[in-house]
Order: sequence, then structure tokens, then C-alpha cells
Amino acid sequence: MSGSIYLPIASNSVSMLLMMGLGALVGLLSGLFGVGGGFLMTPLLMMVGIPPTVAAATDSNQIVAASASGCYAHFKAGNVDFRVGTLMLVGGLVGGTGGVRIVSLLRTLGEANFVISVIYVLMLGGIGSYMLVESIGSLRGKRGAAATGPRRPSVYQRAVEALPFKMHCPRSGITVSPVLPFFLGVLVGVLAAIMGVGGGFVMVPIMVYLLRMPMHVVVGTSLFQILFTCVNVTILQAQMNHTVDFILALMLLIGSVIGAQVGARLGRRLKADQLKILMAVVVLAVMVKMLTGLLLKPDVLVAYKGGH
Amino acid sequence: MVAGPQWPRWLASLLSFAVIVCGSTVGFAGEGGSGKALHVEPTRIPIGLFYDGAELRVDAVVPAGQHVAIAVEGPRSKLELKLKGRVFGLVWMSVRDLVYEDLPSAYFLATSAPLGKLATPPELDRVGLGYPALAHHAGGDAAQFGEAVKLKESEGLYRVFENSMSSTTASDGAWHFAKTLAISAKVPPGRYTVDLWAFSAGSAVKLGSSSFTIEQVGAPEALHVLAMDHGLLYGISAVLIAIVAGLLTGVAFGGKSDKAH
Repeated sequence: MSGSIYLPIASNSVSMLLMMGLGALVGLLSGLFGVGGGFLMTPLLMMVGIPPTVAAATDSNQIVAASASGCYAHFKAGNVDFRVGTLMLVGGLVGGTGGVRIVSLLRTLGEANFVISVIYVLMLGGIGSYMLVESIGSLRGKRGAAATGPRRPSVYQRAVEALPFKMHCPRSGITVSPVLPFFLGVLVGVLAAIMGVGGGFVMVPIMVYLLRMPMHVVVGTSLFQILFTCVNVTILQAQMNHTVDFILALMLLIGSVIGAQVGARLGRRLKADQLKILMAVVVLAVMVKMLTGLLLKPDVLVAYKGGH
Repeated sequence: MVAGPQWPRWLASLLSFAVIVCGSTVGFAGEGGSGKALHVEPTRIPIGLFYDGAELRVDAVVPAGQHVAIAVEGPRSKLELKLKGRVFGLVWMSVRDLVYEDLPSAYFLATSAPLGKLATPPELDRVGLGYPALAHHAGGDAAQFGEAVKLKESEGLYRVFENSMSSTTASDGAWHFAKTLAISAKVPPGRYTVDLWAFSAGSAVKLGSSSFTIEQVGAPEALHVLAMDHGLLYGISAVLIAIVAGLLTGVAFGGKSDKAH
């Protein structure tokens, strides 16, 4: 009764405090790991009775606020690499367009949902496990995972070295051809379009392991890209599908802008490997949740058509 | 009242008595029409910014001995669903589409006796009362209709309250039923009909019909109109507010300029 607010697009009422709390929790993850948090927020919103399409579109609106807040905090700490970020972003736009085509193709083949779910579980499981193993090993100081000491460059490293037009990126301390971040951005964009998420949990490992950027700069740079991606998605969803519920977004962002600040500060107190371990645990937890959702019989065997 | 030339006293009394008896009988039959046998309150539910659902009070007056069914229905439309099934014996996914024609957006049925006691299934079907009657009318895959109902019930949009009203006897012997229905915030804006059915000897007769509307007002209405009719402006404004909120929070927390790590 008291403490409820009505959502005109979602056509439902929710507890204001609950939404702010939800926003704060996901904002914390954003500031900490440089992810959008949609993989957590959208299912939670659906659980409180928000239609899936409104949940996804409105969350995008909230992510704009959280990533603006988090990115500002990281920028102040010198942890945003604008060169890499912009290149990946442009690549992401290209990749996103292609990714949407791939999804259309999958839809005509009739296997879209199954393929997307499998990709989700594999990606989450693969990334989560790799990050966990790598960062635990790194923390323990195992020789194989240590970045110090001369090693024979891998095939990948040699390929990267061969790319033209190298530029130096002072924030992250890497020297790399612009081709690489752009191409990786395309990859992220394709995956993001297929899986319907901002791509943070794919972007972070890619920047850490394939671009060899320090974790703390990765977090800030990731938020920079997510900010622009979600600005684009929110405006498109509002214009084309009319599914953004601003009252809901407002409740969520009141919590998430604060959560993102707390997350950013908390992240700075942790070592890079600790941060990676934490993120890996969260990613694996989400994967387990998705897997159980796929394997267990649902309570109701029907759902509204048109939901994601 | 019975004025006029000097009438014998006995005639005046008899005429007065006749008028009163006829008056009450006519009044009773009038209550059988719309508005008298059935009373619905409120007839307008406004959805403001802090709306969290409402209560609908329905009062019915019927001849003694007759049980009732009160049916509240929202606007009818096609319902398109996806049915989930087990794929490869392992994974639960959407496997095919389900379509049901002409189903109400919300449906509440309250009866004063178990449905089976009110009338036979064919009679309930004839007057469209209860889930089986809805299913029959909607066509489609009858075997899965139960799941569609489960979905609607889980959202608080469909509910059957069987045997949930007891009668009180009015001074003139008529039976009076009252039911308070909880209308959750999820019940969408629109015009809803309320029908009163009375049952005698297994036959259903509609004794009254009323309606109420649920409508967004104030801030919800303004935002809804903005979102639907001016989507681009709405989207850009939403984004700008979000960015400003994020940046202001960043400034408020005081950015640290330490180049950590």
C-alpha cells in the first residue's frame, strides 16, 4: 500500500524501496566489474512482474545512469582508456548490426532460442571458469601464470605484433594496432546482439586477456563503452517499441548511481586478481542459475509471445 | 394521498394497501433490471502515480432461494502464447505457438454455491460462465488452456471464487449477496463489464449488468501518452536525465584524483 509507485508502461505497481535496493545492488556490480548488470537485473525485474520487453528496455535506461556514475568515478581515478574504448565502441556498432542479422537468420531457421541459450551457457561457463582458474593461479604466484620473466611469444601474440599502425595508449600502458580493439569490438557487438546484453562480461575478459590491459582500467573503459551502447539502445527502444518505463528506470537509477560509486571505490581497494575472482564467481553463479532454468520444469508451461 | 371526494374509509384503506403492495412488487421487479438488482462501486478507478490496486464492491439482490454468479470481464482479444516443452529430452524451451481467440484481459467470477450445483456444464457453457466455457469459446488447443489460465492467475488477472458468498435475507424476503473483489494494479486500464446471473432449477437468468472503468490519470497518463506518441523525445529525455543523474552523483561523491594501480 504505502511505498508503492505505479509504472505506466509496465502496467503494474512496485515497491519504491525494493526497486532502489535492486538498482543499488546491480549498480554495485557495475562499478565493481564494469558490467551493465542486465543479466541479473532483467530476470529480477521479471520476477516482480515486469513484462520481459519492458524489463530489458527499462534496464538499459538505468544502465545509462549507473555507467555514467561509475565511468565518472573511474575517470577521476585515471582508469578510462578513451582510445581503446572508442575503437571498441565503433567496432561494437558494426558488430551489433551484423549480430542482429545473424539473429534474424537464426529466427527464420526456427532454432534461435535454443542456439542463444546454448551460447549463453557456454560463454558464461567458459569465461567464468577461465577467469577463476587464471586469477587464482595468478594470486598463488604459479610460475605459468606469472606475467614476469621471459616467455616465448604465443602465436596470438606474434599475430598481434604483426598488425600495422601501432599506437600507444598511456592509460592502460599498452601499445597496439587500432585494428585489434576494433576487431574485438566487432566480436563483442555480435555476441551482444545475439545474447541481447550490453556485453560487459564479454568485454572485460577480452580486454584483460586479449588486449592485456590492467583490470582496473578495463573496468572503467568497459563502462565507457556500455554507456554509449545503452544510450543507443534506450533511445531506439523508446522510439520503436515504446517499452521504456521511465518511472521504473528512475526508481532503479536512484539506487544504481549510488551503488556504482560504492562499487568503483570498493574495486579500487581490491587487487586486480581479487577483482577477477569475484567477477568469475558472479558469472559462474549466473551460469548455474541459467542452467537450472533450462533443465528444470517451469511452474507454468506457457509464456506471452513477444517476450525475450 | 388517496384524496378526493369522501370515500368510504374501508375503500381508502384497501386502495392504499393495494398501492403499497403493488408498489413494492413493481419496485422489486424494477430491481430485477440493470442497476437495481446489481450495484457496483466504484464505477471509475483512477490510476494515479501511487496506485497500488483497488477494491470493487458488488452488491446483488435476487429472489429468495436463487444462487448467484457475478462475472467481471475485461475487453476481449486474441491471446498469443508460446508453449514450453522438453527439447532433446533435456532442455526446457519454447516449442510452439498457442493462440486463443476472444479471451477477456481479466476475468473474475464469484459464485454463492459450487459451480456444479448452480447449473450443468452445458448451461454454464451457454451463458459463458467459468473456465470451461471460456475455453470452449476461445477454441485453440483445449488441452493447454489450463496452462494459459495458470499464467493469467499467476498475474492476478483471472480468478474464480467458487462458493464464496453467503446470502442475507432482506426485510422483503429477497436474498442479498455482497462481494468485495481485490483489483490488483496489474489489471490493465479499460472498460470492464459486471454481470449478475441468478440460478433457479439449473437455469441461468441475467438479472443485471453494470460496468466500471480503470483509467490512468495524472502523471501515469501523461508519461504514457509521451511514451506512445512522442517516443523519440521521451527516449532522449530519459537518457539525458539518466546521464545527468549519474554525473551529478559522481560529482557529489567527490571524484578522487589518485591514480590508483
